[in-house]
Amino acid sequence: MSSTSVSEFMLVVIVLALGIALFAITETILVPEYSFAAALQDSKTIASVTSVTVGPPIQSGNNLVYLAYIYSPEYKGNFSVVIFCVPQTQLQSLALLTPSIQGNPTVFLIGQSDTPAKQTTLNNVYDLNSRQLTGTITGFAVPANTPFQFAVAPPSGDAVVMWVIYTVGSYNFRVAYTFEG
Amino acid sequence: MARNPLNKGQAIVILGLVLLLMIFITIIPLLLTVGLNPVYSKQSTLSYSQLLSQKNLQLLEIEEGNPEITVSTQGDAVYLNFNYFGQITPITIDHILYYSNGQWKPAYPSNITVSGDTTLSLYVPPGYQGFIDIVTDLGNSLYLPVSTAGGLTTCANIYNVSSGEVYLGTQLLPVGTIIITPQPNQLPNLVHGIDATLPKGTIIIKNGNESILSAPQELNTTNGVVIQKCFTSGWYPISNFLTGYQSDNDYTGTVISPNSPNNPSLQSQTLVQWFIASDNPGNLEPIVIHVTNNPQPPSNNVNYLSNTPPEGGYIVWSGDAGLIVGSGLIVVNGSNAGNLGNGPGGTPHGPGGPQPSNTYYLAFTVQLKNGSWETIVDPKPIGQGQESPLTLAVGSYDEGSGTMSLYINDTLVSTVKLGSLQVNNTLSAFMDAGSASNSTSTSTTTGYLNGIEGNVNTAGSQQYSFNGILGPTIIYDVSLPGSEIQEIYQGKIPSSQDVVVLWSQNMVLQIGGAYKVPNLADPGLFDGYWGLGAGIPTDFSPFSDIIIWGGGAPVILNPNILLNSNQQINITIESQGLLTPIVPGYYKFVVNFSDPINTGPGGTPPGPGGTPGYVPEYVTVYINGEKIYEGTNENHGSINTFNYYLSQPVNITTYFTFTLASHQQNPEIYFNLMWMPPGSTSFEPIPLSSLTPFFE
Repeated sequence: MSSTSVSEFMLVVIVLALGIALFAITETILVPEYSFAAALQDSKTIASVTSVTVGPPIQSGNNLVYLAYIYSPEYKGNFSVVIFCVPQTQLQSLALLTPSIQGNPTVFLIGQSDTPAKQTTLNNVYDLNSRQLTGTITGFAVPANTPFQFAVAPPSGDAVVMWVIYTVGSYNFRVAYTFEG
Repeated sequence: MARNPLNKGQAIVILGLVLLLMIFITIIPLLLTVGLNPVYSKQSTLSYSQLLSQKNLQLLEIEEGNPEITVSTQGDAVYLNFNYFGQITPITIDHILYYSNGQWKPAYPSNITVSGDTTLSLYVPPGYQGFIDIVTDLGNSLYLPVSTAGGLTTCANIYNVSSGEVYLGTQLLPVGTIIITPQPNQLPNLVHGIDATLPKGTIIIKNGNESILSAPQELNTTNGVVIQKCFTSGWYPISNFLTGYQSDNDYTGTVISPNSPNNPSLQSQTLVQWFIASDNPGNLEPIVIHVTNNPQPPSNNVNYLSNTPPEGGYIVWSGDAGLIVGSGLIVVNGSNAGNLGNGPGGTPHGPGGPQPSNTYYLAFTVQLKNGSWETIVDPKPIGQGQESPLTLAVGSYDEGSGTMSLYINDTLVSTVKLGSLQVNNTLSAFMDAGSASNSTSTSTTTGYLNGIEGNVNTAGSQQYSFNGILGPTIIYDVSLPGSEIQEIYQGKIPSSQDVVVLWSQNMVLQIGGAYKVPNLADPGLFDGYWGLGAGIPTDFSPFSDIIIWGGGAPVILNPNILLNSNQQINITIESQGLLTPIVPGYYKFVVNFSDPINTGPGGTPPGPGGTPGYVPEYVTVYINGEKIYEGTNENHGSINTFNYYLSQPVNITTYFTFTLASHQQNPEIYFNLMWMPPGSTSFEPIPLSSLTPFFE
């Protein structure tokens, strides 16, 4: 093999190696970074046009029944809601509270009282400041702009907190939250 | 060795291809990532701000009554009502829901756009009494309680030709013709499109001329309507007199009690008061407002700010808010330290002070948390002369929006929006009817009205006291919408669950030396007591007319027609509804007639200048269709009590019949039904919360 062929072959090898390295960097760093940034941006946009209404509780046996509504006029898909209880004394740091006591919530869509809303597994929920709030938790899929109800049995002295999770790609963002009690 | 140009070229091409591949390797994943992500970021934030603005504007308009949205019942049916009180702005409702057995369910099958006064019949179980939730297309969610009336459906055997052409045989009965049947229930509540037969003895009053049918005669309503005199929310007692003529120094007030605060301490509230004002003999002050903002001539929809309470006749004072009637209306600048309401030397209407005008005006005032007063007025007089007409005054304050509204009869005459402001909850202030202070100096120097405690020996200050006749007093702990105030004028007590105080003003219980005006909304809480300094309660029938009281509006209002009749007339008032026990057990009931021993204390004849005529009275009581009691005031000494075991709501129907002789003078008409619940030792009024009408 001539030295020219060797150098050309080396050049090709180097270029290929560089390509593979670049591909690896793109796939492992750039694409996820971009995907996260894009998902975060979309979540922020969704959050800015989303509001949550939760009605007054109605006692039903041991449960409190709430009627809730997620208003997001430009979004036709599903949100996930995560419902949990926290001591009322901790409400002043509401934004930082994470699910610990879930109070066995059940969620039903209106007019479908025999069928609970579909449970969803949410991996790594982030807030809109890119801060990871939780690991894997369970939520309920509810459509936007459609009333739904949830029932929960909060321990005495606890308030009920509802997160609204927007999923884009493989990322879950908390786009709204509220509390009752 | 010579270089091979072809090989070198191939290497460059290969290199180029490899570089291209690298670029694709980098770009394609990014492009794919970008392509697969949604494009919400392209949405204009401006459009959302517009959307948010529209959403908030929609809520604001609903709060202002454009449209006013209420839920009402008619029998067992439930209706969602949209009533516009201003410019019509269409509203789209996406969801209407009700709650039952742990589930929210659709109450209407589809979405709907409302662009005018609309009533929807909701798909809810009969008699539903929970909340209705509506969600608009702009995401506003509103929870509305079902408004339920309290009291008894109350009807008299008196009918009016209401509209169209109604014939008695071949004789046309003009609109306004009065038909009095000899017995109750001889015609339906509403007669239209049918031929009915009027029995012998029916009295026809046509154009002021009366006749009596000597034989049955056909009533043709094919092209006309005849309506019975009925209203929804009746209560006991039923009488033609009120308990007193509230001269300028008489009043009724709450008392210091371990079981009851001095006043209801309300933020949002609605004050309701029937009255006839009188300036004879010149002892009703004009309304005088000493404003701190620029003085303006009295006008509608203007709030007048003052540091001291407006002067005038306080017909009702809740402790935070009051309805004021005056014989004149004056807005002046500056404080009232000089007692503008009185003339020099404290003489009412003396030289230098505002003069009464025998022209009656109405105002509504609230005291805010900062101590200042906001007042709205109607610059149009209610009437003039010795007495005003019988008038319904309503003032409402909504804490959330700071909206003050003043109604005369069923008409909104003035409203302002102050913004969200709390009223001054002075716990020590007594709730009063007929006055609001026995001191001029206190109110002018401190800017507070402490009311007057009932059952004490004092008299109201003329500067803050009413002169005339007071009918029922009702206080709600909510700001009622305009449609419900119209219902009050029609004799309904809407949202009865929100009534805090109901002084019927035609019943006084004498307890030792005290004269108690029981609170029919919640006996024992906010009961009123007459002051002992001046007049005492008397049976007073205003101005010789037949006005029968027994509900939120007069059952019968027939100036002179019945009294001037050439005939003997039997009037029967039928009261029907559900009677709900407080607790299960044996209840003892007592029937009171207008026998002198059973009337209110005082004994003054119930009409000006005449001896009371105790007309024959008959009462029959049915419970669940079974006749439980029958009695008359002509049978003195008869047992007027009966017992009944109540474990659940029962149908109660009472027939109260009184007979007016030809040209009856000064009739005294009175029927009361009271009960003694299990464990109680005395008869008590049946509270409004235990009475539910059959028809709303």
